[in-house]
Amino acid sequence: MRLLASPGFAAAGAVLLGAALHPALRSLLRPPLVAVAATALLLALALLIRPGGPGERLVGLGAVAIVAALASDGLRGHRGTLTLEVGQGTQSFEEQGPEGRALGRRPLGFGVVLARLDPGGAVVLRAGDGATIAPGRRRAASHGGFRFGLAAGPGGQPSVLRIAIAGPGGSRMVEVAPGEPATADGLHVALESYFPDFALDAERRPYSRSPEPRNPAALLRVTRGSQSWRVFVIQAMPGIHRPEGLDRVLSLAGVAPRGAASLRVSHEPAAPVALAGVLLAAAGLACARR
Amino acid sequence: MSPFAVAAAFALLVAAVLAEVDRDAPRSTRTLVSRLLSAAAGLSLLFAFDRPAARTAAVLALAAALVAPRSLVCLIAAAAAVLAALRPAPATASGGEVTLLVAALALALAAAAFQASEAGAASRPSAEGAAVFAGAALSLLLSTLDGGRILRWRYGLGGDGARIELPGAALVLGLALLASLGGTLSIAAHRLASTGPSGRMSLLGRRLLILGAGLAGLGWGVVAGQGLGRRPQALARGAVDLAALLLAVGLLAGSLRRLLAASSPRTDSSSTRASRRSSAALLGWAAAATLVAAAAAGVESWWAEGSYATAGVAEASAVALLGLAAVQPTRLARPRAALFLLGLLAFLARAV
Repeated sequence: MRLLASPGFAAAGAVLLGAALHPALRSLLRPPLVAVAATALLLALALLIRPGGPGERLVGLGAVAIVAALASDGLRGHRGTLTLEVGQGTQSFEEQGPEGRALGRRPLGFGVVLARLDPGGAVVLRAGDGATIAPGRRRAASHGGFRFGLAAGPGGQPSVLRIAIAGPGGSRMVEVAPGEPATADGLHVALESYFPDFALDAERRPYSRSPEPRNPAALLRVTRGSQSWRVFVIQAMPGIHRPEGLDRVLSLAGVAPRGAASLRVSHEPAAPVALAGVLLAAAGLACARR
Repeated sequence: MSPFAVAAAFALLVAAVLAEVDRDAPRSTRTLVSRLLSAAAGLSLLFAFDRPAARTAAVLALAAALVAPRSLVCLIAAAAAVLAALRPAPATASGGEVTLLVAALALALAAAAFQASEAGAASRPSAEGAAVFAGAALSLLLSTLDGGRILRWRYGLGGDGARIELPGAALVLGLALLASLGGTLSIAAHRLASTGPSGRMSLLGRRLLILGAGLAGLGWGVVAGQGLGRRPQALARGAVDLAALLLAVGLLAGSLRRLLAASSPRTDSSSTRASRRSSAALLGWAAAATLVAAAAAGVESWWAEGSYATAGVAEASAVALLGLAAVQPTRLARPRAALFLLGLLAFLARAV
């Protein structure tokens, strides 16, 4: 017990737990969940039972509250993903366990239908009771005890770009998206960068003013055999860039939003307790005796 | 490039030098000027507030005006201001704004605490250890810049399409790497082999480290000058390299100054005790601020993504745990404080 209450034990436990939690080290260390949970529990106990003033007591209580909240959410909470096409409905989602393990389908307790996808990446879901759930970029939405957030990166699901390739034999249309190149007319077309609302900054560098497709443009990597070109296309000015050696003219014909949305679904009822625990520990650290 | 951030970086560097000189020979005028310069730099950075690095640098600079000792905080703020000056504002907000601001405050407090703990142990062995650490950090940084190309006497800025090769800078930085590595190894060998107050290896190591710091500083100037003159876009891509190099050179210069000034162990036990108390208090506040930053990360993540179980929250929590470890009244206090400081620096460097 004296060992558990010693500051050295708390310091070593905190460093070990910090290393186990850090995303950069976690992939290297691959700590077992049981070991991480045991370290967290021992650390919380060490902070709780060690001798000290009110500040130290608050730190201990905060640590116990955090561990209890995380354990509660680990056992009673749910996290997973939900992928829907426009018009499609469901009453469950794909639950994921620790380290992203698939746990099968978990009922939501209510039905949802993907009503529409907005061009800016926002998603509108219609719940069974008629309520609207509208998560957007960096803004999750709540319904029925669950939080719904966009699972894809900034901008939600990436759009599909329709590229027209004009050559001596006529014109062909291909669709490209990030990580999804297309091949047509002997050319391999891949998307390097997409600017939904293209503009140039003060240093003449391209950027997107907003995620809305108001002035779409893209940088394409076009290859044929051992030859390779970078082609800039902008919807407002078809065929503006004609690289030397490329006997085709590429134009951005249009941008189509994806017809499906991938959402992150979470049910973390003990989140407020975890927050209170962190703030309690912070207050304890601030007023601890030194 | 933001002129406000450039002006702030210069002001913070001057404030760092003044604060460093002021540590050994305190004078109220110097203290006041370094505080005023830090505050002015913080206010200047508010005009570039659309850049995440400028927000971090502004908090660091304003905190530097209030805490003592402040030379390390000013140096870190100057590096952040360089990053803000060279990197344009992102088109869309990346989120986590409150977390960044609170973490920057925690970094300022942790840096001041670390420096205060150093003041409590200003003897030659300690100064040598700091010089070895700073020399090793500079050597490691130089050997990894631009994907380790300096090891092949090549250096450039930017990526595909906007890359510029800087052969002159490669030569200067390569020589800086050789000198700083040689100096670090010489002093480390002296420390391992001898306990005496001087030695040929130690003298050689000091001279090599001075040369290494000078060459690295010169290389920084060459890279910045040539990058600005030839392709500012490429310079923006290499902004992190330049900010890190400035920080490493500043750390080495500061540790060398203390190494050259330290002649015998400090005997003033009352000032040592005061430094330790001040360091412990600052470290406690830094650890508390880091916990608040972790809480803010959790709330921002829950708001934006719907869950607190994200990589950003895990990273903030890991740094908060390092803070908790650093405040424990037990052995290895300075390594634990250094680990906490490095964790905070890495967290902010990844976030901005």
